[in-house]
Formats: sequence, structure tokens, C-alpha cells
Amino acid sequence: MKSAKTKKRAGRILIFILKILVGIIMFSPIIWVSTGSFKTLTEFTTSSDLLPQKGTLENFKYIFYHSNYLLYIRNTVLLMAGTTLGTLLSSSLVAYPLARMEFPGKNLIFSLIVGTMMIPNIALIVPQYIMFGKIGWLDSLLPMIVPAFFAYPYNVFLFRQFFRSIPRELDEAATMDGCSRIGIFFRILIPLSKSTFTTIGVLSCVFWWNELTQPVFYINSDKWRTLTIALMTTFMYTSGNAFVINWPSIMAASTLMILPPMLLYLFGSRFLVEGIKTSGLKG
Amino acid sequence: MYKVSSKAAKKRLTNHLTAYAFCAPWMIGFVCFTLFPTIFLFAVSLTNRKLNGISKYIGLANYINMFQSSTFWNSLWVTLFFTIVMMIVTTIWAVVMALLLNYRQKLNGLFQFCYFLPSVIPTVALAYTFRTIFGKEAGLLNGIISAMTGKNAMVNWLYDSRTVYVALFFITLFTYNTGQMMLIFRSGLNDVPRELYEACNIDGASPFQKFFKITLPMISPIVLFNAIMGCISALNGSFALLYPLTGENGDPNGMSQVLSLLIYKEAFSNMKVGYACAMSVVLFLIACCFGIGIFAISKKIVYYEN
Amino acid sequence: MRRKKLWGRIFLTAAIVGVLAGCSSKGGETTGSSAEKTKKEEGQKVTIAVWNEPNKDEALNMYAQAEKATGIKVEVTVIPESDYSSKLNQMVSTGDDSADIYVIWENDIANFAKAGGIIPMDDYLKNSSIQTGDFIDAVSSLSSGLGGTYGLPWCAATELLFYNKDMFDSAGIPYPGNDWSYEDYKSAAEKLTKKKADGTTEQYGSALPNTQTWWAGIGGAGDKVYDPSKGEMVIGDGAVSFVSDVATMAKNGIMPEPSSDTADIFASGKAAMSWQGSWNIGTYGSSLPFQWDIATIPTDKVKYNTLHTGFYSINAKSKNQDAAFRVIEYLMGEEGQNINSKASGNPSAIKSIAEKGAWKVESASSVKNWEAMTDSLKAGVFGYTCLPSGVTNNAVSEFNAAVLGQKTPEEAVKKADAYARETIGY
Repeated sequence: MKSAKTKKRAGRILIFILKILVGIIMFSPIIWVSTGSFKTLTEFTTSSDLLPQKGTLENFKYIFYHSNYLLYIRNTVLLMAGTTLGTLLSSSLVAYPLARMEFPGKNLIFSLIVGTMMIPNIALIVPQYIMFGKIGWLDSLLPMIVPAFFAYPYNVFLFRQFFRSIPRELDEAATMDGCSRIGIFFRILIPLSKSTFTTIGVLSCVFWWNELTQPVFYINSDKWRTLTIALMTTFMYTSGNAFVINWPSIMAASTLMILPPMLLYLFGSRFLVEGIKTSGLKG
Repeated sequence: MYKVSSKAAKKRLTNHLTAYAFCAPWMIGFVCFTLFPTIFLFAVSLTNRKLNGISKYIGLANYINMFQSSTFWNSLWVTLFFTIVMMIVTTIWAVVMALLLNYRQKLNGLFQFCYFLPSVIPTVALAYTFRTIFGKEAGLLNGIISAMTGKNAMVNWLYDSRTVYVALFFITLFTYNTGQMMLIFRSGLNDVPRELYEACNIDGASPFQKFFKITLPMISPIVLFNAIMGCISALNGSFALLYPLTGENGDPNGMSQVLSLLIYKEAFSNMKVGYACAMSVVLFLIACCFGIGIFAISKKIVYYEN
Repeated sequence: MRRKKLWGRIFLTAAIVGVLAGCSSKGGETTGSSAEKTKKEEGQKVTIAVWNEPNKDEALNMYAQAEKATGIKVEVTVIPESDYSSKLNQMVSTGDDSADIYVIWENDIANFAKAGGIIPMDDYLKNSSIQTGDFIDAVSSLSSGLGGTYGLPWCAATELLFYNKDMFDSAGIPYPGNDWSYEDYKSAAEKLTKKKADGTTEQYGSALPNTQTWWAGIGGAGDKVYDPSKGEMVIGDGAVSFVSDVATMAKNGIMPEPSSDTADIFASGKAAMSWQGSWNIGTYGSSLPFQWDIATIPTDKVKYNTLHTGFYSINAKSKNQDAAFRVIEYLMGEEGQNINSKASGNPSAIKSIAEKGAWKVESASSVKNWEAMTDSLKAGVFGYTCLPSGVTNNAVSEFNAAVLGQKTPEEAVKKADAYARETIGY
């Protein structure tokens, strides 16, 4: 009996050690990035020590004083706000009849939505690029913001799952009271699913904060660069020499980019974590 | 009698029209941003369109050239290999982390923070971070190995053909996919009824037996579904990870040149847009195959949930 | 009644959706069009697209000085070198007007002129002080045959051997001269290499060639690199021999292997020699913690030097072409050219201005061998820079694979060549 208990205890300790190990592995890049941002370029490229010998603030100074950092933040925020607003509005509208109404072609539409969810964006990006070029939208945020106003399949899918969980009797009661469908949507459904809107909004913001692929294709000039693009361009090279990557500057910019999601996790983990969980489980 | 039924029919009609009106944004978006580009994609793939817009119909020449090009075949295999192995590696790692976190102990909140946070780092930042962690001369990993072995480790992780895949798949453990799956599996594990484990405890089953007899069967539908969803996002997301990590040439020796990188290179560095479209068609078809797979499996899962 | 209400509501939502969508689309555009408006109102703002950050020191920032001299506001859009050609091509193909002046690379100017993306400047040049008759020969031959003057060379840069004097001193090796042979370079590199007890390298004899200087080595080994008559890449035995040499040196620890954490090991004092663009004289200036100097790239079978330039040209879609030309006129004038030379170390492409030597960067006080620059420019030809960047980048990636021992140099060169044919013939 006693040996079983010690065995169990040993097991618990073993698991705890394992947890710490995994934790170190997963968190080490973040530590490397944040300490790296205080190193000089020479130190960064010659020494593999974790801590800087003597810290320098030059990298942050460069970002704040010598680059268009505020412009990049503005662009990123515009992009996040535009796409998130667009997708929340349009996706919820589209999800409503799919979840709560009966009409011919409903299954076809729903299948198409699920089907388009499977097409990776990257497969269609070249024709879309040509198309947006023709209408003069390249080198702006429009190729990313406008499609958001026409419902993202994945978000429609998520909204539909949430809307289905709200009892249909509410709709019927409201119709009896003379409420139209639009009225039901705005007066009953939206207030009831505030948390759904928040979670999908948070997920959308996280996605666009991190998004690189579409801006790489669509944005040319400095004027519309987002933070992710700036990381690959403005903060990457030392001035004058395009073959010398300014690693500590990239590390400093990365550190700044990690902060908002980190704060979001710490203070809004309800929306982030719960949102992600439900987004996968309701599949 | 007649009047009533016509009224009902009208009501039904308006009801249907309302539903269609609600769906209108998606319909417009579908036609403009999915259907039209898809048709256009197939059309452009039959031309020698260049980036400056000059194009001429050349039939299947792009496809013929493509299937004769060793670069393309290499890229196709890399894409399939990368997608599938990434799916397996990240899923297993997510299950491991979820299992560890579900073991109730002190500091679990802190651990979840550490395990999950890397996945919300922008992929570009992640890529650059790992380029230096896996660096040859002053990389963190070589530094750690040197300190532990006392020898001067000089492994060229991302450029040596023997280590490049190890390094790449290790990096995929830090992507959004992994973190997302870990959280989903965690709540999946929470839903496994405690009684099942208690019954097992009485039988004196080992932790491994418990895992394979109870836990795995109970969470397998979620694992499977998310794994295949992960394939799609791997197809889509590999560009954002690999473009800053190994460049459009997929160094070393094209070993990491997935199709999306090759498409970008052909379209924008070589300006062969028509050719890039032919490659996009292949990528599109691969995605369709994965899509059909997920459809088949999700049907089974719906059964399971109901 | 109720139906009316319903339809009204649907219309209302449709209108809201439409307005919101419209707003967002306008949201992006408003900023653009308001910028255009101010441009029009003042008629005095010119945007210039380049790949280098302007110099931080205002006296050495030619754009800031151009702004002062002309009274036209000059804004700089920096597009990084790795993407520069591609992004410019995209901008020209879509008729983008966000930049008024492009600094165009050698491989693009003919295409842009043909596609009508840039305008001929002959009319402007008639009444201007720019000395177009005085360009160095290679430049004037490159821009001839376009049927007009579409671009003006912003400078004439070349590639040089940079070396660490301190390391040469301590190894007791005489400094490289401009008549150094390739064999001299190789034996010096071997002698300058210092290894630790376990066989790893502490100090490299030479840095790895970068994506530019690979071609200097290949050209020096006897390949033509670029055939202007056909616009093709020509590499063969010369490339094989140079790639094999580099591979051997990397294997023996004389040169570093290509790696993911690319770094300037010459600047960080870990390599004794490095082949780099002449503009690094300006970049290094007085910032390196050791004594250094320059020399001509060592001569192998032939004396080969790649010339680099960029062409100031005016966007055909620009609304401020007159103002753009005035800015170009300043930048091409003696003052503008001298500031560029002082900041970058690149001589002017106008012979009479270059002769005055403003390119002898003052802060680079340890440089004595300024002869190397004139010597290199004399041997300079336009080479790989006239090829599409996708082709040359692909070739360098192949060479790197050979250096890492993943394929033989012959295979790498053959594959690079095949890929170039496939691409250029498209």
C-alpha cells in the first residue's frame, strides 16, 4: 500500500518536472526575443549568451524615432478594425437564416460555405491579385477589408453554431408580437449573443494582427505597411547594406508585437481561450 | 379558403426572400471573391500572362512545362510531406501538452500561459526568432549544446539537409495551430466522464492503459477533426512561416520550397503569372482532396455528437 | 402594412451594409485622395521610390538637400532590396501613381520603357544643365537603344575586396594590391584562417560571397555571366570552378557556410576579407573597431567587375512630372551627386564630377587605396544586374546548396542554367 503511494507521488513529481521542461521549451523563444532586443548587432551575431553583456536601448530608439512606427500601427489597427467589423456584421447576418429559417436551397448554400472554407486562400491569391490590380486596389488595405464585408465562411459557420443554440421559441414569440425578421435579429439575437460577437471579434483581431501572407502580396509601398510587413522590411536591414540583417532590431520589433497578444491573454483570456475552444469543438 | 392559402403562400414567399436577403452578402462575396477568381485562375493558367499584364493563349503549355520541371515535382512532394508531417507532429504535441495540463497540479495557470503564448506570436516574428535560435555561429541551441557537452557545437540546423526537417517541424510546434488544438483538446479531455477513470482505478490500470483505453477513444473524434482542419491551415499558413524562414527558394536545396512559395516566386520574382496560376490550380486540387476528406469524416463526427 | 415595414427594414439593412462597405472602401481611399489633393494644391510634393534608407545625417541626405534646394517636398518610399524589382514591376503594371520618381534597376529599365511605365526625358533634358554627354561608357551604352533617355544613372558603383588590416598585420601578410591574382587571394585566405583546438574556425580567412559578389567570381573565372545581345544568362565552366573553390574553402573552414542567421562577419571582426559592394565604404565609415582598407577584386582568368547603378526615371502616371524632373535635375547636378558620393562612397556616373573625388568618404579614414575604386570602375561591366532577380537569386540558392555539399558544383550550375532558360524564355 505504501509503495503504491510513493509510486504515485513519484509519478506526480515526474509529471511536474515534465511540465516545467515543456514550459521552458515553449517559452524560451519569447525570452530569446526579448533579451535579444537589448543586444547590439555585433553582440547578437557573435555570442549565443542569453543575456546581453550590457543592454542597449538603441533598437527601441530606432523603432520609435527613426521609423514610421506610428504609421504601421495605424495601418494594422485600421486593418484589424475594418476586417473585424465587416466580418462580424456580414457573417452574423448570413448565419441567421442558416441557423433559424427554412428556405429552399439552404442546404446547398451551407454546403458551399463549408466547401469554400476548405479552399486555402493562397490558391486563389494570384487571380485575386490580378483582379484587385485591375480595379486599382493594390497597395491599399482594400483587398483585405472589402472581402470581410461579404462574410467569411469560417465565421458564418461559427455564428451558425451559436445561433442554433438559442431556442427558436423566442423567434416565434417575437413574430407573434409583430416583430420582423430584421427586428428579431437586431433586438433579440444580437443582445443574446454578445459574448459570441466578442469571441469571434477577438479571434479575428488576433488573426489580422499576425497576418503576413495577404499584406505581402497586396502592399508595395511604405504608406500601407502593416507591422508584420515592417518586420520583414523596415526593421530588417541595416541602412545602406541590404545583406546585413539587423537582428536585434527585428527582435525589438517582435517583442513589441508580442506584447498586445500577451496582455490580451492575461486580461481577456476569457474571450481568447474560451473562443478558441468553442471554435474547434463545435466542428 | 382560397384567400387564406394565397396569403400563406405569400407569407412563405416573403419569408424565403427575407432569408435570401440575409444571405446576400455571402452570395455577392462568393461570386466576386471565390467563384470568379476560381474561373479566372483556370483561364489564366492557359495563358503566358506576365506580371505586366501582357498575355497570350498558349493552351496547356504551362501544365506541360510544369510536369516536366523537377522544381515543381520537388515542391509538390515537399508540400504533401510538410503538410502531413506537420499535422501529425503538431497534433501529437498538442495532445501531450493538453494531457500534462489536465493533470491538476499547482501553477497550472502559469503553465498554460507558457504553453499557449508562443502560438499568438506573429508567425514572421517566430520565423526570425528561430532563424537565430537555430543559427550556426551564434545560435541559442548551439550555445546550449556547447555548454552542456563542453564541445563547440557548430550545427547548421536550417541549412544542413540532415537537420533541416527536424528544425522545421520543431518550429511548427510553436504555431497558432498547435496552441489552438491544445486548448480544444483540453476542454475535450474535461468532458471525458470522471467515472470511467474511477472504474479503471479500481481495476488497477496503469496510466498508459488508461490513456489508450479511455482517453484516446473518447477524444479521438475531436483530434481527427482538428488534425484535418490543421492540414488546410498548414497549406494556407506555411507561406507565412516559411517565406521569412527559408526564403522563396526554400533553402537548402529546395527542401522547404512548398507550393505557395514557388507560386510567389514564379509570379513575383520571375513574373510568370500564367505559370504560377497553373501551379495554383494544383494547389487548389490538393485542397479539394483534403476538403473531401474532412467532409467524409465530419459526417461521422456529427453522428457521434448527436 | 407589415410587409411594407419588413421591406423597409430590409432596404435599410441593405443600405447600412452598403454604406458600411462603401465607407470602408472609401476609408482607405480618402487618405489617398486627400494626399493627392494636397499634392495638386501645392503641386510641390514628389515621392521617390528607392531601396536604401536615406542617410540619417541630414547633410548627407540628398533628398533632404534636394527639398531645401528646390523647395519641393521630397518624400522617400523605401522598398527593400530583396523585393525591389518585383514590387516596382507590380506598381508599373497596375499603373500605380504613389511614387513620382522610380530609381530603376538595370534589368527593368528596358521593360518599363517598353510598357510605357516611364516617360522619355529628352524634352526636359534639352533645357537642363545635366551633362548627359559625360556618362561613363558602360552606362551610356546600356541606356542607348531604348529610343530615348528614360533614365539617368544615379551613380556608378562597383564591388571591392574589403580587408582587415589588423589581421593582415598580425599574420605578417602584405596587404592586397589592385593587381592581386585570385591565387594570391586564396593562399592569403588560408593563412589568415585561425582555428580552435577542436578544429572549428575562430577567424575566417574570407567571408562567403554575397548574392552580388558570387557573380564577380564567376565572371573572373571566365564566364560571360550576361549576354546583352540575347538577354540571357551565360554560365558554365567558370561558374563550376568558382563554386568548387568556394565549396572547398567552406569545407576547410576558410569561409563560413551559408546559414540562417546571416551576419556581416567582416564587420564583426570574424573574417579577414570580404567581397562587397563599394557602397559599404559609406556604411562602415568610422564605425568598425579595426583598421581596414579596400582593393580591387582579385583577378582570376580575366579582370571582371560588376557595375551597379540605378536610373532616376519619371513615372508615366505621375501627376507631378515637372516637379519630379526638377528634383532629378538637382540630384543629377554636381551638388546632388557629391552628396550621394559622400554618403555612400559611390562615384558619380558623370566623369567630370567623379574626377573631383567626392566619393572618397571622409569618415572612412583608414582607407588609403582609393585607386582601387577607379581601377575597378575601369574594368566594370553590367552583368548579372541585367538579369531578372528571380533567376539570379535561384542560381545563388543552387550555389549555396553546392557549398553545403548537397549537390556537386556541376549539378548546381546546370540546374541554375536550366532554370534561367526556362524563365527568361517565358
